[in-house]
Amino acid sequence: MPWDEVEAWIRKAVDREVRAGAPGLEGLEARVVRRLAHPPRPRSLVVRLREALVVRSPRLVYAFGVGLLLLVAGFAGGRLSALLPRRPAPAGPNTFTIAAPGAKEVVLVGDFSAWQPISLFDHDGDGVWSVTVALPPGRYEYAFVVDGRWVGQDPLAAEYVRTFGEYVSVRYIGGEGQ
Amino acid sequence: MRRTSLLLALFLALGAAAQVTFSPAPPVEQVLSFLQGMEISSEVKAVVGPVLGAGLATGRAGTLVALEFLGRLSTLPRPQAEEALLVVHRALERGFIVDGLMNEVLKVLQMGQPWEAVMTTLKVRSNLLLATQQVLLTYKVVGVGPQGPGGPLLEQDRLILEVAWAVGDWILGQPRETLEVYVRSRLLRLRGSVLSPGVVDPLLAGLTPELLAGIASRAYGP
Repeated sequence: MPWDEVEAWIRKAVDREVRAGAPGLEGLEARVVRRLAHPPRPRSLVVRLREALVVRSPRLVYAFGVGLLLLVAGFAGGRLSALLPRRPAPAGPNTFTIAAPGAKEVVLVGDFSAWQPISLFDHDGDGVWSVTVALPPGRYEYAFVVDGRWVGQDPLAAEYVRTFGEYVSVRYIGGEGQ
Repeated sequence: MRRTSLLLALFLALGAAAQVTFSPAPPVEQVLSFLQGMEISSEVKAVVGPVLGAGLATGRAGTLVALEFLGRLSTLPRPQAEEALLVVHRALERGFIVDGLMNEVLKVLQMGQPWEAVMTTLKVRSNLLLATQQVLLTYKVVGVGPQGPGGPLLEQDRLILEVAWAVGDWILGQPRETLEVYVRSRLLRLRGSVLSPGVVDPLLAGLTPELLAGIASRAYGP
């Protein structure tokens, strides 16, 4: 194809584009001058937040809102529960549980059994070992021994007592637990 | 319907079987008989026997923990066994509840601590029992009790034990709270279970850092 023909086609295409965009260019200069003379007021924080939150899918907004609510509720609950005393467990059957996946032997020792071992069981093989012990009202010190290793801090304990660098857990049964 | 009932019954039976219930406490005679069979001096047996018998009869010493305690001591060298036994004997002779002392020995041994640790904690606890009794008498929180192993067990005996134990836990454990906060919190938790409000409330009303410092200094001071 000769170069002259190609150049002619390009010119025609450019002309078409310019003609198509010409209406949008009418009064452009005046609009720019007007905008420069009166800059728009900065948008308020609320407006900007609203704009940020307005997304095409309303489900996303709901998910965000619910997530935020749960986060606030969880945080508040955690902070408040730390201030409230833990109610003592009721007298009677008390379950002692520890997660020890892969352990071969887990026993419970405590003053309720004169520190003699009580075996825990993992019946379903999920690594959670437990045993239920009937206890009258009182304050009880205990610890788990996992494959011969002393585990003195039970997350479910009311408090811990330290003796010679080792911890024992404490559980209160019955009473007012104020 | 029948299948549901059967499953429910099975579930309940499994639940009951999974619960540990302790065997009945051994009789007093069994404990005293075990003491007589221990390889310790006959003088120690003669001194400890009657006091332990009285303590077991009045509930100042539980038969289960006493039997385990003696059983554990019987595996130790004779001087160590006698040393620990005499500390418990002296506390019992003064009328204190000694289950905690015996349990403390069993606990520290179960932890695998050396004998020095066992005797340290035993002496700390024993000194605190005496100091607590004296200070609470001075402050008129408790009245004069039986002062011996054979008298009836009073609620104030339990109060003395719990205060002494809380102070001991604070000394041995060195928690972040002040001694007063620690002891008050402990007593409030025990209120209504092992300590009746009538016994513990007068102490809670008069519990001060000075009172507790008095116990600690009497236990360790000159």
